[in-house]
Amino acid sequence: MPDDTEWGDAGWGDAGWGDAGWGDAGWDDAVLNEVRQRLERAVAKICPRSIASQREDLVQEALLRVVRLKDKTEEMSHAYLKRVAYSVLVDEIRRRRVRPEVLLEDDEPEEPANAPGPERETWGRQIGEALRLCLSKLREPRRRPVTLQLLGYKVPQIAEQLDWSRKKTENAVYRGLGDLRRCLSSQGVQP
Amino acid sequence: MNQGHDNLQQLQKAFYANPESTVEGCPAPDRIAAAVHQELSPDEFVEVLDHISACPSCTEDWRLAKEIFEEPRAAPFRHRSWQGQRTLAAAALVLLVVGLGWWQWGMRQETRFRQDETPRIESLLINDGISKSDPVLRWRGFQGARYNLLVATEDLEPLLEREDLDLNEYRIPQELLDPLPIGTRLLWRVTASTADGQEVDSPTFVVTVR
Repeated sequence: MPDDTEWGDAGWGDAGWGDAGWGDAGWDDAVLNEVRQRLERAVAKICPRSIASQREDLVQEALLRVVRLKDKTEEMSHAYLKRVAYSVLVDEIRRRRVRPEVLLEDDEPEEPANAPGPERETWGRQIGEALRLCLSKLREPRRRPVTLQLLGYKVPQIAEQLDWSRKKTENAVYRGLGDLRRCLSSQGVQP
Repeated sequence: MNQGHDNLQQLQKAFYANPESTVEGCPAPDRIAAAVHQELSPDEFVEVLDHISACPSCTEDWRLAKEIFEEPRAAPFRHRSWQGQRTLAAAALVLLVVGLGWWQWGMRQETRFRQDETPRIESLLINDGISKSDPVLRWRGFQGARYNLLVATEDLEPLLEREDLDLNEYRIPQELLDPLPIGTRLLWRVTASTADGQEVDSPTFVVTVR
């Protein structure tokens, strides 16, 4: 099996996806296996524990989407397969958010040893809600860079994402974070 | 420990809290993936971003998108930023101590040994400190070189990055130092692009804010 680092798009070019794999006769078994393995790895990479027991079904669903979309897809790349896997997973996660299911005992994920306790969880929830509220009150030019910083982006990446100068981005981030902290303090929240 | 950056970490953790909570009008997963990949127009991108800023569940979806598309060589942000970088910080400090010892030993040797030394960048800070009133980093570099500078907290959270500096000194903006308590230790390093096309990395220096 190829190493994950070898999945460059070059490996998915015409040579790997010729008529043998995509012809009218259907799927070549080797190609199908290859696609399945790659989808399995992509799904495994981000599959939350809460739906880990469904991983096989999700891979199957992703595989079906790839087959269905095959004709509409000019190029089959590693990134494309990851994107299909991501969509399938997020669809399932969203479905569960809307309609949580009662877990069978066997399906229930074990709490990790370092899982936050109920008090910590409540505190996290409260501060999370306060944070969103304060974020919504930020002036627009500051809210977007601050949102990206909260998502984990660094100033140079934020500048690139928003197509701003580094200086302008830096100012907006630091001032925006200052506003955010003041807002949180005014609500009695000390992160 | 740097309080300002601890605080940012806490805010970032809080931002990823409540992933089950959602607001209406979530963008399709494909759209979030496209936003992460910068495939959207600026207007489309900020539309997704504005939704993310209000929607905890889409924030989680964004995190998953970043994680799945991250190449194996690049560790995901949430892991890299803490565990890995702490190790790097420790390694950098060990290297710094070893490097300083080596340098002091080298100073005592015959001049003939110095002839063979590769070009190096040295800190010119007195007592490895900078004052808040005059926060200038200085280093000994090379004629005609240009420099990239990285300053980070002890936990390796970048405080500032500057590129293509033509002077061998840099004044840290006051607003970056103001939140830092006296006694905060910062790590800094310089990469020089010399006139003859070489790249020379400095050791990682430690400076105390006074």
